[in-house]
Amino acid sequence: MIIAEQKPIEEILEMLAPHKKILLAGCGACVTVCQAGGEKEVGVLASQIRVARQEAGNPIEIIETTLTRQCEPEFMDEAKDLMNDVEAVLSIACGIGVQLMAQTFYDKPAYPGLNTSFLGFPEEHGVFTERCAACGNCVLHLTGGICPIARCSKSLLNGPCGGSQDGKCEISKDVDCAWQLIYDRLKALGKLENLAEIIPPKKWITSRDGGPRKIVREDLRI
Amino acid sequence: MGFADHLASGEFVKIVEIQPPKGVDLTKFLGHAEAIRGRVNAILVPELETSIMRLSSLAASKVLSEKGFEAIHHTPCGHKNRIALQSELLGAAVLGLETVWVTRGDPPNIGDHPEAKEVFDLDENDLLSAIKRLQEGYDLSGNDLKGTPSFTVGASFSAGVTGHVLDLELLEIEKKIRLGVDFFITTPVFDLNQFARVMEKVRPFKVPVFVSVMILKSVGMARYINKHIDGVMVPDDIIQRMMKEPDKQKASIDITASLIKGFERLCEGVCIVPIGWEDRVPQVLDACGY
Repeated sequence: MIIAEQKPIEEILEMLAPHKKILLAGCGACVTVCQAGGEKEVGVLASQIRVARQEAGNPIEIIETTLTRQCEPEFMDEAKDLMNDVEAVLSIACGIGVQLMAQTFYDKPAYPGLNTSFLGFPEEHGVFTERCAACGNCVLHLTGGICPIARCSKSLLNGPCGGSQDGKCEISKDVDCAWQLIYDRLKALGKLENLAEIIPPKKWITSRDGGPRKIVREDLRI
Repeated sequence: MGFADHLASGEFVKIVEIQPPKGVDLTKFLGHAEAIRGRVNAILVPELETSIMRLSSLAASKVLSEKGFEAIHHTPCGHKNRIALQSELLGAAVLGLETVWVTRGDPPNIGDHPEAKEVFDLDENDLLSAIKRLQEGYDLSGNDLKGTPSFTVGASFSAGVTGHVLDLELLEIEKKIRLGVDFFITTPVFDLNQFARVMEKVRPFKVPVFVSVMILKSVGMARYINKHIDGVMVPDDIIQRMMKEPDKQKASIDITASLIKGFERLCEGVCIVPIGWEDRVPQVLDACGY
């Protein structure tokens, strides 16, 4: 899922400074699960903003809502009536949700309340780690189900490098060496011969390097 | 007389772009340079233009410099991050390449290694900031340098734009001047009247502008440009002139020369872009009377 975290409150207050009445919109999908932008976070953040603005002598009215999902146009209708009454929307969805809000309600500013961080999962309660770089050319079948693009700090396809020490990456003792993990998993699977292969240079054109991406599925088009 | 002196002299500056080779055989590259020795003020050596892998601008510029040519080293942003770009600029300075031309650069997917990872860590304004800071004695992270480089810095602007896009371009030009740009080299221009209107707005900035003049090889090339190259337009009268002339090469050289002579009254110099016709550049210079 998409992992995000809330922007510093000071940054949010600065964005909202010109406004007296806004919609604060959460999202019921990924950011609810990672507890950055769900219904509960909408309530907490709305209170924080109200208090800060009250203390600054510049009160703000905030309408609270949480859409089923902000990443699909059909759910934008849930915010349609509410948007009529406000000057702007503070979206605490991922960047996709903020952009869909901006696109749908074109004449009103949409501000991001979160920083969209990465694609990953909660490793333990309160700890989220990256697992996928959405590079568009999956190699997990070669690397024991562990992604070297997202998890190796150099995105090496032929690792490990000399920076691998005691299973950790040279960038930080808190970061596992992806290629140590790949080695361990391939060993467990009896597939260590995979490491004898030289993986050729990656085709980054399927990643962001080929420009903004788009998939057209003719079989799904109406 | 270095390039900075040419800028200050007020003479009409002549620059010629020569592509470095794809490989290490410099025979043709140096041959093209020798053919115009003493007739132009500088040779611009593009770096990985259109993301085609070639010999680096740094190496090719250094070779030219050693042979007594004034070289303009090109530093685009597309394929190197801020660490590599700053390092390359320090390298250019110690190699005596003090004239640098900064551009945004091209994405790899238009070149001959379309699967390469693109960089674009800095845009050209960021890179101009980096050059400014290097010249002040520290890097982008604020670390002190041992020895401070000095550059004459060029940037580019799109001369083919009109209306509100031109207004945005003027804002960009102003920003670049604030960041220390000493001269501009434009995108290719074929329309004197349109360029005259652009220069009316750019001239008050009082920064030398060198207009790019592409050698038009054929009617087909003109039509290709009009169809596919945003911001560059070959006017109908040039296409008609090319169509009517039985000797296409002569027409090509005459058209290029007449454009250059026309630009003499509009800006501070030209940059001739031969697009594979480097061996015709002496004829263009002859036709111009240079």
